[in-house]
Amino acid sequence: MEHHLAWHQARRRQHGAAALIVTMMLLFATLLIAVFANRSLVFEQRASANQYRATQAFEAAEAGAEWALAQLNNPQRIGPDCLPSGDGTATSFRTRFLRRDGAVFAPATWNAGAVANALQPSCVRSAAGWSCSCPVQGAASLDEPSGDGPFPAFTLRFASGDKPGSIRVQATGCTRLAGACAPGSTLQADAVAQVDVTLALLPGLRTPPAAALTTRGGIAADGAAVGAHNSDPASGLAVHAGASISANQLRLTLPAGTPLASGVVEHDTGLASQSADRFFASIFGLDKARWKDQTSVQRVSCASDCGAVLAAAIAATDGSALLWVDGDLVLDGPATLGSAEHPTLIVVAGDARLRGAIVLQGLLYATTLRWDDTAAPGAALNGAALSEGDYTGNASADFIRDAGVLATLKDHSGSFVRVNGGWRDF
Amino acid sequence: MQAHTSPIARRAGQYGISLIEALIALLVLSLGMLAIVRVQSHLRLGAEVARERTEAVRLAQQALETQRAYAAVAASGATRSWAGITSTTTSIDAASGYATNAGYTLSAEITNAASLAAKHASVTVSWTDRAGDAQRVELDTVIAAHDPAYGGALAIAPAAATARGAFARSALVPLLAKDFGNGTSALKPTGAGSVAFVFDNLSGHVSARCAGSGAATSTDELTLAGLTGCVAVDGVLLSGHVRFSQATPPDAARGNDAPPAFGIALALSGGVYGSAAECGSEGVQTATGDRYASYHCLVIPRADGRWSGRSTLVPSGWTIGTGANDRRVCRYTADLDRNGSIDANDEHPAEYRNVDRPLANQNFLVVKGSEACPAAAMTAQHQP
Repeated sequence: MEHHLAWHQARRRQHGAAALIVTMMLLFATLLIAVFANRSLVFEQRASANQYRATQAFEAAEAGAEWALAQLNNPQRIGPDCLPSGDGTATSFRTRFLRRDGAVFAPATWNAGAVANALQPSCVRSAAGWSCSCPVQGAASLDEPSGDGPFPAFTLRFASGDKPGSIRVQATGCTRLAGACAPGSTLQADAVAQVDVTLALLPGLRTPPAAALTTRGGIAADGAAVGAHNSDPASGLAVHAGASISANQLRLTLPAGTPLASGVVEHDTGLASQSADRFFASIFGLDKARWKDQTSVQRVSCASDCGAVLAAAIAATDGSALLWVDGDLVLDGPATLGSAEHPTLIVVAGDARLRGAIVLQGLLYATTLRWDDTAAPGAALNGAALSEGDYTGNASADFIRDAGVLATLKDHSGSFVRVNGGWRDF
Repeated sequence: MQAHTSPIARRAGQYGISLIEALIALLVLSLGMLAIVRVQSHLRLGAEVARERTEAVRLAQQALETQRAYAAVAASGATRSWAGITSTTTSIDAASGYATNAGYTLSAEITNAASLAAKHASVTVSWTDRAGDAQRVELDTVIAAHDPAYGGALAIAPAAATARGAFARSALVPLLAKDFGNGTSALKPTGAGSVAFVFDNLSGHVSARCAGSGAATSTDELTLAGLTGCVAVDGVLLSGHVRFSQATPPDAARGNDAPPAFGIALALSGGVYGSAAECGSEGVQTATGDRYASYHCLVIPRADGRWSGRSTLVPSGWTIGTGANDRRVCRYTADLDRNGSIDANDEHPAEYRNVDRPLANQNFLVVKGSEACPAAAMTAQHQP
């Protein structure tokens, strides 16, 4: 009896639970089928979010490559925040992150203990724009911005290029200041992208002239003890003119043992028949408008004596200053411009009129060139002088062709430009 | 009885409970189905937003890439320029000619970087989804001012690797060489000989050696048609001047004696050469009374394009030695790169190593055998 009742009760419980369980199972199966049928919708959402993050990281990496290009061609000295600094001991972006070894550029490093690490500038986007860190020593120091909105970041690495004068810029972009974009960070970024760009130096001086003093026109310096010196056996010219040379007190220095007559060339039709623009392009590799538009070229203009303006422009950069003078250049001595290590390249759109004891290390190019003042001992131009027209004047100036100065201008000055086909964003 | 009636009663109760149970199950099932339908519609909305976001990201990236693809830096007419990259707001929907999933508003916010030739670009695409919520994507980047022409200028090789010389030729072509106007020049190393070297004006390398140019023809009188027996070669020149001074002490600055007869020998070393070096010399007296001899040697380098060797003077009718009746050969040599030693080939070392370009102005001074080479005038003893 007892047994009978228990059986009945059990059966009743079983009846109710079975219906519910079956219902639940049915419901669960329906849910599974629904989710399975819509899995593409779930994936689509995930893919869309991933694509958004990947694009953000990619654009940040592109920003890094472009920013590096702009900074490398910025001749100004910069502070630790990558903004121009008035500090005379600060370095420019190029000297801070690239080491020069002959014509080869190598990445600058800092030592953590005995380990040499590459110096890496970094930037992060905040509500106020991009804020950057250009360390002189150690890792970049940046704070992750607060607030909402995407705050992508990038960091740069430099490497020597395949050829002398070329470098590779590797920009890493992230969705936030973390992971690969902030070395040492324990946080992870949602997406990381890398862009690799090859840049090459377009020299400020493409083909150095062979002579210490080159004029497309003539030279009229009778009575002035003008000196022209070139002891480089490979070029061997001291004075090179398209028209006639009249300088009865010319002092010449050539490679020892070389006859003096072979150091002076006048009436060179190859020079005189060139147009002025062609003459410029044969030396600088660009037309005048494009040469002066380079961001690495500083443009100055001065109504009267240009010495202070030029000195300020030369002091503003820590490398070789490339200067374009709008209009005429008037320069009164005594003045010293440029150094053997960092020669100065001055292109004058108009005429250059020098007076007195001016010492210039570098190259001077002008439409016409005039150097006056007989009583000016020590007036010298160490490098090369070029005139689109004539050279005149009564100064006993020395024109010295310095192969080292010209090589420095050829190998180290100028603009970094993108090598066609030299970028990779995968 | 109890036992007999209760199953019926229970069965009747059981029937009723089954109905309620079925009703509950129906309720649970319908509630569950409703939830699934809600999930379904949420998923559909989410998927639609995802589609719109994908499209918005593409539109934003397209806007950035369009701005990046400028052809000039300064504003110039219809050409897309860097200067022309400015903040804009545009609507992208069916009315503006795009078949899109939603109506987007694209706003590009451009600011100039502080004292840097670059612009900060921030492109935001915003839209309203089906549920009426505002959605947006934002991309931030930097666009530098970089004239594409500079990349092109880089591809144009400079006219000459070394300095440009006179008469629109390489500085490595001897000044005396006769220009034919077709990109080549020619020079006779020995005026009375019949051999002429033909130079490529651009590189300064010797491109041909002509055996039959007529002994009576001087370099100035050479013509392209008059050159016969030419064989194309790829050679480089070694040239310089030899001065003689019998004075005591020797006059290094102006060794001005009449040159006696001599030859130049260039012994090549350090590898296999197709042919021996060929040298010629000739005495010169300029209008100003300067007397010297100039020499030119043609070297066909090894397979690697370089040559090594030592050049020596070969006396004819006089002797080299240290006695009073002999003569001593000094070479003019200078530490041009100021690195403390005579190691570069340009600096006129005792022996050339791996020369890969023409060498000019490798000068000698011949003094009395009993006199030392004047070190003050940057000469060093070469022979004996």
